[in-house]
Amino acid sequence: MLSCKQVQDQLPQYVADGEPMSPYYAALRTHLYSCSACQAYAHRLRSVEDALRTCPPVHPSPLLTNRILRTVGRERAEAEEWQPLSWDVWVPIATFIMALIIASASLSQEMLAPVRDTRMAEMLAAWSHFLQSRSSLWGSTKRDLLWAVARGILATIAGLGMGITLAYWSERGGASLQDLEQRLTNTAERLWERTRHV
Amino acid sequence: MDSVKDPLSDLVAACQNGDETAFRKLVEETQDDVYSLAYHMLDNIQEAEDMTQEVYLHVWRGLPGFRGDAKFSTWLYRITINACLNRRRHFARRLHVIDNEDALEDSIAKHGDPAEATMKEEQRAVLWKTVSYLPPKYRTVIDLFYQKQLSYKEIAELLSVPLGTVKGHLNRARKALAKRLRHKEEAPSAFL
Repeated sequence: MLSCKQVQDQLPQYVADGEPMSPYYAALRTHLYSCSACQAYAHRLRSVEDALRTCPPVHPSPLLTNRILRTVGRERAEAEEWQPLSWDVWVPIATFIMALIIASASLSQEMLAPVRDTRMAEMLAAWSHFLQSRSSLWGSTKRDLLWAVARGILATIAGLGMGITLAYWSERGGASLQDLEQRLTNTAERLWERTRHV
Repeated sequence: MDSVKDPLSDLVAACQNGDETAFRKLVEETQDDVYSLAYHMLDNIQEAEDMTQEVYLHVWRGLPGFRGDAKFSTWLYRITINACLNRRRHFARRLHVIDNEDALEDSIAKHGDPAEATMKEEQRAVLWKTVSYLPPKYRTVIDLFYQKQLSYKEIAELLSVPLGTVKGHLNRARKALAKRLRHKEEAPSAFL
């Protein structure tokens, strides 16, 4: 037989659950049937439950929507002013440029032979020659060594950037490419609009 | 697996594509929920309005990364709760916290209401008023359970507390309110 205290400890949950007929509450129901104090307590809890279920929501000031939109608008304007593209766009671009520099520095004259006659090949060969003249790891001057170290740092940063970007994009799944395309289009449009205004 | 489509998903997708009208609509549709949660957690109208603004700034910043793994409303409540908890830590001294159950019930029972009444409708209004005297942690779970109709499990996940704590808070609040009713029945004019 449950005591009043035990019953009154269980009653809030029992009433909140809709006074189920489950065997778990059999002893409670038996007690409740014969105890007027607990019946009165159950009655009060039903009133509480009814009041809580019908409690009207609190509303903010009607001006709040405009305040929120103004705050977000200011933030958007600042973001557009100072950061036309977010890090997940410019990091891959910077990484790609670095990788291009490193790759072009590694091109030998022999590799360019099949396309030697084209204008692009001539430009690449000149660029490669220019970099290689400064970047030989076997060079004996301090300047050459410095250039080799700088190229190593460049490669490390490019690798890190590539890794972070790939991890981020793979986490975001397929949506990121579509999203990137959209943002690049928006940025191009915005830049075009600004250029026209100028 | 929950196959029910999030009713806000189209609006959220439009916002992610930079649609400003959709963002306004999203704010209009959800701001009452954010505000009431912030109000119950912070216990102050002005703080709640400031917090609501702050929450939508977080939302705007985070929308491009929102993947829809959870319902938008769940994500929104989580942002609100985290922001309010940070604010509460900041202003911890100003908050009135009662952890002892008897003290909680006494505190609620002592709060008077100028418009005491005996009719059921008015008794209900008295209880609504009394809810506003509960400490924020109880009002928060009441708001999430009764107003936003989240399950015990969802509330426990949002607040990062055990499920038993959520039930415990709700039951203590119910007991405190029932005690308030008993005081009124025993001494109807005591609060006038």
